[in-house]
Amino acid sequence: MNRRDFLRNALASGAIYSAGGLPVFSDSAEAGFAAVRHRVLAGVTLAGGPDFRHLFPPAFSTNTSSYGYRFWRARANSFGIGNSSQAMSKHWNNGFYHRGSGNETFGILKQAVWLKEMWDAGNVAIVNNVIGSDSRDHSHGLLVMDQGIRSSGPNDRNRSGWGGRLALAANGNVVSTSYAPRPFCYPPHESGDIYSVGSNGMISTPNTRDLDIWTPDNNYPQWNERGKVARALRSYYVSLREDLDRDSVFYDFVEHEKNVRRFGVQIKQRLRSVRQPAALKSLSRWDNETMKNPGFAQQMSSLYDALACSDILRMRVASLDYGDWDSHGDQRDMIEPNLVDLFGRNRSFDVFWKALPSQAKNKLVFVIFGEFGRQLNANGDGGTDHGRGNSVLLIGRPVRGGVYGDMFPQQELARLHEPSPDIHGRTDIDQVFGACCNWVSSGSRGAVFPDFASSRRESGVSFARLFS
Amino acid sequence: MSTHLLLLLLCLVASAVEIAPARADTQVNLQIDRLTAGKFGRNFGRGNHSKVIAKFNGNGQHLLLHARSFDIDSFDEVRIRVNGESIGQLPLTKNRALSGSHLWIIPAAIQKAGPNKITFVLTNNDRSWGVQDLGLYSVGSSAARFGNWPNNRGLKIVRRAVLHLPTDFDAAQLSFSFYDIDNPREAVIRPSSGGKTIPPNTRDNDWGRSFVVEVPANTESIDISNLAASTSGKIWGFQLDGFYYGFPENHAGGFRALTRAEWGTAEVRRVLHTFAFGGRASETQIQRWSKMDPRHAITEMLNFDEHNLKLSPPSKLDRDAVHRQPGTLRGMTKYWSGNRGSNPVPRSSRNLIGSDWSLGIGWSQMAMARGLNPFRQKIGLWETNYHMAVNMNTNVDANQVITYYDKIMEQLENNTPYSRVLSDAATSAAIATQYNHGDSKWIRETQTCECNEDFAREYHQLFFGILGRDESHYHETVSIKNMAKALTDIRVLWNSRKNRFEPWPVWGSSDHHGGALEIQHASIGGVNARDKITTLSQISIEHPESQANLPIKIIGGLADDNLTEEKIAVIRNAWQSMRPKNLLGFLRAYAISDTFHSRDRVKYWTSIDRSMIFANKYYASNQEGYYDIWYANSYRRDQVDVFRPKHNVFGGQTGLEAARSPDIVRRVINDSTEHMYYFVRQHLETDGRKIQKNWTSIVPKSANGKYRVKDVAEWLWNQYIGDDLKHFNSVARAHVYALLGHQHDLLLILSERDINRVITERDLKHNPRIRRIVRSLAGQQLKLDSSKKASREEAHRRLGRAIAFIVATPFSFAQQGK
Repeated sequence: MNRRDFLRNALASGAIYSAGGLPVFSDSAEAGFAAVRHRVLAGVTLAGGPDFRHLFPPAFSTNTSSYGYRFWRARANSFGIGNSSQAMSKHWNNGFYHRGSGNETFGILKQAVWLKEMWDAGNVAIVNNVIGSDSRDHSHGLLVMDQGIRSSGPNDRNRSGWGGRLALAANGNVVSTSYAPRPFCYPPHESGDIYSVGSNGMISTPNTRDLDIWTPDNNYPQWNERGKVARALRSYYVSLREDLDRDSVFYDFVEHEKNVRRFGVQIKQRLRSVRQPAALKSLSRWDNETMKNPGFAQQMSSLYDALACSDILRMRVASLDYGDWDSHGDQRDMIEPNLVDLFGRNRSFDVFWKALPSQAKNKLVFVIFGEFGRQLNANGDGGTDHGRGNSVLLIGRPVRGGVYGDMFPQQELARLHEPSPDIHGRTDIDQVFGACCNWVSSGSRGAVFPDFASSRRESGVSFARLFS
Repeated sequence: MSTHLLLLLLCLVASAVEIAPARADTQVNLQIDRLTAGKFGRNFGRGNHSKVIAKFNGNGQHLLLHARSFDIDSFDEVRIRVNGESIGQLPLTKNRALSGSHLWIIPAAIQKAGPNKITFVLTNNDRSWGVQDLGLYSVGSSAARFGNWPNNRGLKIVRRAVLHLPTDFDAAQLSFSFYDIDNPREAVIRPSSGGKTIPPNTRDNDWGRSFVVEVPANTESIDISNLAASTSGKIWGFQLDGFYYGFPENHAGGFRALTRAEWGTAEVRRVLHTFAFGGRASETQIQRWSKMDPRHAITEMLNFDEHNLKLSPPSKLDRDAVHRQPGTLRGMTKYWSGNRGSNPVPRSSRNLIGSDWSLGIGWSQMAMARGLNPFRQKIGLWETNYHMAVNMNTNVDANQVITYYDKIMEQLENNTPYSRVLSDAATSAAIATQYNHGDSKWIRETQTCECNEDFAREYHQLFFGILGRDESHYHETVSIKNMAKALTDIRVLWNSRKNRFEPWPVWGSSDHHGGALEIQHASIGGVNARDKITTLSQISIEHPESQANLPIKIIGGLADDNLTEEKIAVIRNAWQSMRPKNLLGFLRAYAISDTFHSRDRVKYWTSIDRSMIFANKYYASNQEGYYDIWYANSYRRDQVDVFRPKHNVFGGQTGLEAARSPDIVRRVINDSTEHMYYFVRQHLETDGRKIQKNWTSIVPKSANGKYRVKDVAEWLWNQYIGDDLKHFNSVARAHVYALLGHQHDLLLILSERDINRVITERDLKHNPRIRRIVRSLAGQQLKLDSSKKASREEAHRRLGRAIAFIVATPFSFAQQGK
């Protein structure tokens, strides 16, 4: 079966939006939180080009020809330290948890406590030398990472996203928690054509606690102003489902109305019995001063609720994003607060994870990525400039933790004095993300990634056992 | 022998001398931006030629040919051709005398890459003739400055020049600047088609700002005269900064404009919704434009003037005289936030407009204010929030943003070549602050750069669309690296007296890489960063990737979210054939083209688009907008703000993003239902003061002098949706007629017991009872101007309900080309 047929059949199987029967509630203390019956992949886009080498540096070495020394020397400026051995050694020892994998020793930034704990629990996979676009520009890089189509050019904006395709292949929906759904979520066209966007299969829930279209109930006075327009609009939208050509550009809005109206009521009812975790609620308040970006905590809160309603939403993929990683200057001051927002003690992931019922943890994997990595050398402004290759993080109980791919390739040393040296891509995104797809829905990889056949995987690396 | 006979005899003798056949053609090589010495022709200097061939290498830009003719007796005696195409004739002179300075425009479209030929051909082989002072200049280049001023190392013209225009254009705009003009009696520009333009005054010994002269199709030449030359030897100078065909469709590779038959009210509304947030033009004005030649109508609809009173006429209800205020962001925010007695904005709202944190509200007020120009604000928004975005959520402050916005708009208003608009934007304090240029230094001692590649990359990518895809290694390792070095020693100083940063940077050279740098295969010199950026921008605009990508960014950003390969090719061709690049000319040509009005064009509205279209149609006067500032800026409820773009320098929320968000549909529908109070208000209220919501000043009456429901419904649909009723189907009509014509909605009218039923087109076609009711509703009168308060208020509520319905339909989220 080819990709188009696969996706079209998934659409034809219907029930994309059906509630899927009575919910099975979990046995956790979280009353009302339905059992998460299907695997869910949550994509977290770190737009701007996150420097994962800042998060995971190699062990410092005093051997001046070693990678551990030359890396630190090249990056001292972006760590905001002097380039003496003493300063570098001190920062390595004081600023990072020291961990190892095989022969490789690396650090985990100390502020990223939750990440360290997940690593120690064997639930973090660091996949290295991954590349999407060969371009170093943000918009094209993001476009490729969102679409999962390496052959997309910078003007190919109107294509489906790999999250949307995966959800469809898994006979479910993608749930976007950000204010504007990322193109990652865009479903393919109803014809199965992945090179255009359809309207079925994406649900937007930036605030799950305010998700419904207002509808007067049976006790509402019939003659009230609000009821008159609400009735007229509801009736009109339903009529358009029949009267408007499905190929019309306006039909998407008819679909949006239908889906929001349908889910809104059910989710509202479900969430009446699901307590919003207090810590998440507090972090997501717009005036919360501990978070640099309270909006991300709001997304995590919505993800929590969406998991509680995963049976209603038929959620197989979720999407979150956190921007502001373009660290050309003063990198340490710029991105470490971001990393704390994400991975710090009592911050987004930490409080989310503590609140999440155990049964849901067994079904959830986060895949965290940006559009590209940074250059190997710090620039003259305390930052790093655009590169191409980068790491991708997979986090979750189902993940078999470890380092996949050479974390610090020795060959990079020979390029340090060239202009604009960066991490060379050895593994195409199709391979890593494709493995995630197969975990969500067996055999879906080929349907989701059209360029998979031509994709590369780093020598000696296998993703066959990426998930347990 | 009489004097006449003597003269005749002398002429015959002279002719006899000239009968000797002309020798072979002569050739001369011309260098662009240089005057060429030598006299050419017959019995002129040492020449004896019937044809002079002047060769030059085309640079793809409009050029000016300068020449003085000698002894030309008849109109068609010597023809001038460029690559075989006629550009005119040598002008008449007195016998054996030289003419003054004449200039001919050689359009880029008739030039070829590589060698080009200008030929001067004598049509009557027995005449003497001549040409001298041949010069070739790029339009807009500093070498193309002519006149009489101290140290003028270029072409000296003391008294007068005649500029000859090409013959094959419909209308054109010429952008001039003048030197040292003290009063209106010193110089004049007179097109041969009639009328005159007086250049604006300048500072002493300085060039003034560019201004535009528009000429119609029948203009053959333009006389440019120094009126004071004869009495005082007055110094003066002029420069042709730009020459713009009003309608590039006349030339290969341009857009095809709609014919008059293809142009109507639907097309006018489409343009207004896309480019002017719907505009404020009256229905009468829309009808008038629809009956004009589109090429003339568009010049009235879209211009960058601070005030466009046809597009946005003042309301009689207003006493604020916005149309007489400076229509700049600085001028209007100062006016609206200030405490002048004439300021109509309620006191508690003034801070909203004037404060740093809500500058976007000041912009919104401008986009919706009657008496300003919503097209100007639409483009201003796109330039400063999308194309060359700066973000007040970084360190950029309001003063810098205001300066940035106003400077860009001033240059667009002056028809400044687009490369110059972009280079001046790139050298603003707003950009310097956004990209933190202040930390970037070139260290001479170590020959190292304490700098980064942030703007070094985004200058190419965002401003010009140069991604370096065709030569990525060179782009990354040479152009960007060197651009980073060029962007050094740029400081935005703190003004402690004004307690703010200066709106323009200081360009130093001590911490700047002073030498020439190779960028885009050119050697870019300059003593500071500004010099280098200015020089580079002229090259960047011609870069093949810019030529391919920049027009797509413009059209994709403003007007089309569904660009096909076919449309992309047309848009690129039109842009590439335009030299120098001029945004207004490009947008006008596009807005009346079959590319814009094609069926497969789709523009999804951003949250800002929707809010501003609504505001332009909802508020009958500026006063109403002043009393409703929070609601007028409803886009903020979608987490969108002006001057705080969602994607930072990559721009604000796009139409596609908004369209892909079901949550925005939810919010819009809930606004129309759960929060519908805003639609049915009788009064707008701020500071405890109320004003009556006025409808009668804008809702047109039917032919019978009343407000017939059907007519009001159609007018409302066109106001808010703007599709000339294309999607106002029978079901939508039935609901709107009911909301306008009855105190209840259609479902309640039909049955109190089945209020959740769905009315379809089939019902309206086949159910006689429903048909009868709907027909009756359509014929009802809306009592907007009733003398009875209760009736009037009920009519207001009905109008509000109908609007609430219309703005929540699917058709309020996007626009289709046809």
